[in-house]
Amino acid sequence: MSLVVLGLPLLGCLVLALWPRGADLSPRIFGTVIAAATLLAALVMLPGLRGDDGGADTGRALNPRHEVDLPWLSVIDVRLHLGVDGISLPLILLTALLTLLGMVHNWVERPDRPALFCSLVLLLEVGALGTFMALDLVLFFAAFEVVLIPMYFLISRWGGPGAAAAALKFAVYTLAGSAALLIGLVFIYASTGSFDLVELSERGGAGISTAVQLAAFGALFVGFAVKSPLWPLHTWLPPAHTEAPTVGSVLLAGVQLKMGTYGLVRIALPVLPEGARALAPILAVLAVTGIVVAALACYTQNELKRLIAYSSVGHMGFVLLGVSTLTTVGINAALLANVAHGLITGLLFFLVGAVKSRFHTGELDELGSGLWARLPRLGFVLVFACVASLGLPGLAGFWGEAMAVYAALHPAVGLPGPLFGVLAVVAAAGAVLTAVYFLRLLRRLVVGPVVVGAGHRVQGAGSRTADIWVTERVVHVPLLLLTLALGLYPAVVLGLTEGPVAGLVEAVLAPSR
Amino acid sequence: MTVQSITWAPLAPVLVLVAGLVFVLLADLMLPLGVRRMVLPAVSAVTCAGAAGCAAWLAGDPGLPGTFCSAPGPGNASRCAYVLGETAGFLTVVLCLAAAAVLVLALAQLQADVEGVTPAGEYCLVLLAATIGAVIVAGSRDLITLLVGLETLTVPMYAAVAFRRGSSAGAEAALTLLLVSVTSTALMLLGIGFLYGLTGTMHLDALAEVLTAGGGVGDLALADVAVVLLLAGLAFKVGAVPFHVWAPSTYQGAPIPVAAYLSSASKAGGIAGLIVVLPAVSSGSPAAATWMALLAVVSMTVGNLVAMRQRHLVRLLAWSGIAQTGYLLVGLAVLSGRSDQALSGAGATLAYLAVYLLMTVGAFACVAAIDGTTGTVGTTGTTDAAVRDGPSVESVRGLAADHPRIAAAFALFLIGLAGLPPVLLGLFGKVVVVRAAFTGDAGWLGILVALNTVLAFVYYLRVAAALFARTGVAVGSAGQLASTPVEVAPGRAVSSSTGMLVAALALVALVAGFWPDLIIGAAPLLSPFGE
Repeated sequence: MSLVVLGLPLLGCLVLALWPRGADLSPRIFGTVIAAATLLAALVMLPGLRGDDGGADTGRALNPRHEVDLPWLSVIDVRLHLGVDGISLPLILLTALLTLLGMVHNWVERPDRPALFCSLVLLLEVGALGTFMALDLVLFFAAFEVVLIPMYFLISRWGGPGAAAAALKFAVYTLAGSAALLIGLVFIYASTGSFDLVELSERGGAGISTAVQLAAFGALFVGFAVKSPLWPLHTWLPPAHTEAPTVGSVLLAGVQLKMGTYGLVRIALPVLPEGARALAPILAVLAVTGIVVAALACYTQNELKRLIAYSSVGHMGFVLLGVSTLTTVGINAALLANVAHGLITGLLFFLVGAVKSRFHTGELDELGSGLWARLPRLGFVLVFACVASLGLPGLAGFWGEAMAVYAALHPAVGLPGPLFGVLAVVAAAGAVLTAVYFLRLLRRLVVGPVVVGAGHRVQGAGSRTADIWVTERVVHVPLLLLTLALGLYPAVVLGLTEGPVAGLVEAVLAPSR
Repeated sequence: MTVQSITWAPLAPVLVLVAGLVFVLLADLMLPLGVRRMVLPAVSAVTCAGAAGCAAWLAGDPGLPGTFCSAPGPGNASRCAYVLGETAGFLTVVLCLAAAAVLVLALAQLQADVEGVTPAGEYCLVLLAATIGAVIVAGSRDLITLLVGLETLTVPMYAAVAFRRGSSAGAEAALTLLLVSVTSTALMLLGIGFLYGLTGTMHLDALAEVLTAGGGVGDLALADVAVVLLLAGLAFKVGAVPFHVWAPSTYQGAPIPVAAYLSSASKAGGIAGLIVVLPAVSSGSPAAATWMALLAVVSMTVGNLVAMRQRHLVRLLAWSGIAQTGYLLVGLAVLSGRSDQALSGAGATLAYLAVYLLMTVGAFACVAAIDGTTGTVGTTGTTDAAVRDGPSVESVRGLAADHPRIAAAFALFLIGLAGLPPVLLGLFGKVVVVRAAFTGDAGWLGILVALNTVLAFVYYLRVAAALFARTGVAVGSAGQLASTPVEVAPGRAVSSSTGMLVAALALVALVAGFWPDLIIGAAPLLSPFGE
């Protein structure tokens, strides 16, 4: 089944790459069908994992299901080893869902060269799914890097005016991080002789000296930090998001950013626990600095997409804070916040794309205000998304942030308690700052008296037809519902992640080892 | 005087090539011009492919004896001058396949050359002769055979480079190559002379024995000097920094198929020489590993940094080739020390060589296709430098609109050279090299390779992105003013043979990415753990 989930989008990508040039409707239909099929295949994997206790009783650190283990590049011990467990499945489902919604969005905003566009999106999906399912270090690395080229072309060819420079910055920055990642992975191999993640997780760092663990964790840390992004390695994100087309931004925020934090939880923590314990405080400090700095930067932003990009940096700060606590609560918080961020920020980018396509600008100065009065449905969804993003209880964003702060107050034994306590307070203050800038945005753009800005309206459209179309509703509603569902009943995700995370912490991160 | 015994079986690849060469010589005299232009390169390409097939078939046989063997003396084993072992067989296969691909490019060039400016027979002759030299180098087991092979590889290239008639660039390139090669051969001869003087033998196995004998001649400073001179001579051949100065102008002055040959088979011949020589000499001189490491690092870095400034595609590929030589040398830099790790270093170089040859021949094939006139001087009579020197990054801007498949293939080969997915083959090549560095206790080399990959990505991506750039407003609007500079040979379609070659190479690159054991797994000596 893992092979099906990975193979479908790959097949779709190759077929679409050979599609005849002039076709407009057929590639979009084909792309949507493939994306839908991939989502279905991923959903099929769900029942097998429900109620999975992740091997907490068996004491194994990693207990994958739907395993595929084939020889691949046998001369250097690289195997095609795929598997799914409770930590990766929510992200796999999120990826498949966002890709499907992105394909549907092609009917809202038709890209030129649709076959090439859909082919690149599917290739992106292959990379993301491969990363989440990989159980071999080189396979993980290959999938991790696959997303670079399609995203580069998506931004540079279909993006805004400054797209070329933004795309290049994104590509080179991410590649530099990947170079560090490769070094760390090969370093692990050189010390242990194995690329296999299940085996390495079992070992839990046994047989790797502390110095090597520190160095390897440092290298992996840099690689994942660029991708997450962790302050101060985040500067590639705002330009990339601003210039990317809507679908590109959604996939960048909703899928690619998850890969960095997933890598930390899946690889860096289990394989190098001593390194993790040593560097966790640094991770926590950088994460919380990111939360605060991003919130302050957001407050001054006047361009919609840039604002949401910085808010992503802030949210990922909470995720990384959760990871740095090295406790079950913390890592669960991180995974939950990951999924929530994917849903909410994905929705936000779809909405901002809707605003931009109507007014041809993202600048707050040119958009005027009183959007709720002019475009009531769009205004409502925008309010919902912003409020969810700032962490209102009852919606998805709340749980991740709250649990991360709670976990920071009770970090793992061996981590400096007072430091984490201070960081928890600062993070909570950061959450308040998040609310400040989102409310500022809402006050400025959505509520209040109607002021028509300089940005010109869609030609010949009255206020009714410029409001949300049916197709856009198809894209927004699933994300809306899932955000609400996750907020009211986080066990949807936590039920999946709890078991494997408990197994991970117990088997590997417990300080008795 | 002892007469060496000759076993013909291991020489089969060489004999096939020689047969082809003789046929080309004779057919050139007898066939009319039109037929000559097509038959001769086609036959040469088939010959090279046949030689590759022979080598693949023979090299798997461990019982295959060597050839040109001296009679066994008292207490010595029989020393053979040419042995088609596993390594030599692999090198012969990849060399001959690269040469065959280049000859297909030559076919396209000759067919486009309607006035018969470039002599078809001589063109194929020199390329075949050079290939014979490379094959001899791959299997050589003594220094004289190595030298003869290297000279056979180099001398015909003087003529090949000069085939760009009617332009001074070709003659200048040939002269540069001649002078530099002669110097490097002189250095190498000096080194060989010193080694012979020290050890009294030319054969590499005997050489290794004498050099490692404790307290013997291996400890003399002269041995180190000799090794350095020998390596310097070989480093000229592969274009390592600082012995690289001939490469960019020679590549640019030569016809594109010849530049492709220099970048692929000729470089592979140099690497073959290094793989043959290094295990023997580095056992006595650990400095050899240090020198290799130094060459590797400097080549990578300088090659990538200067390539970033290049605008002309052939020159850019020349400098990128210098950087790729650096990656190839990394595996050879970990050769001294534990023998199990040593083998994996050479194996990593062999694996990366196979990947590199595929990607570089593909890239040059795409440049040849884009150039339209496949290598001869562009629009005749023009003095415009951009046209005369061939395609540049600006001139290929937006190529994907007119030639989507060539653009996609070119982007594929460039990304493969950069070592990134989705061209997984290139990535695996890089992983193999980095792994060899780490397991050979030279982790810092691996780190440098990774960093250089980032540097190189900048210029590879620049070209790949230019291919797919939007040139103006909507596709197909009439009266569109293209703002591109003067195109070479507008309206000329891509030659069918070049197109087919590009397609075949791209397909192999993609398929081998998903099934890397096909190419990388075939390289011998790869795993250090007892395989």
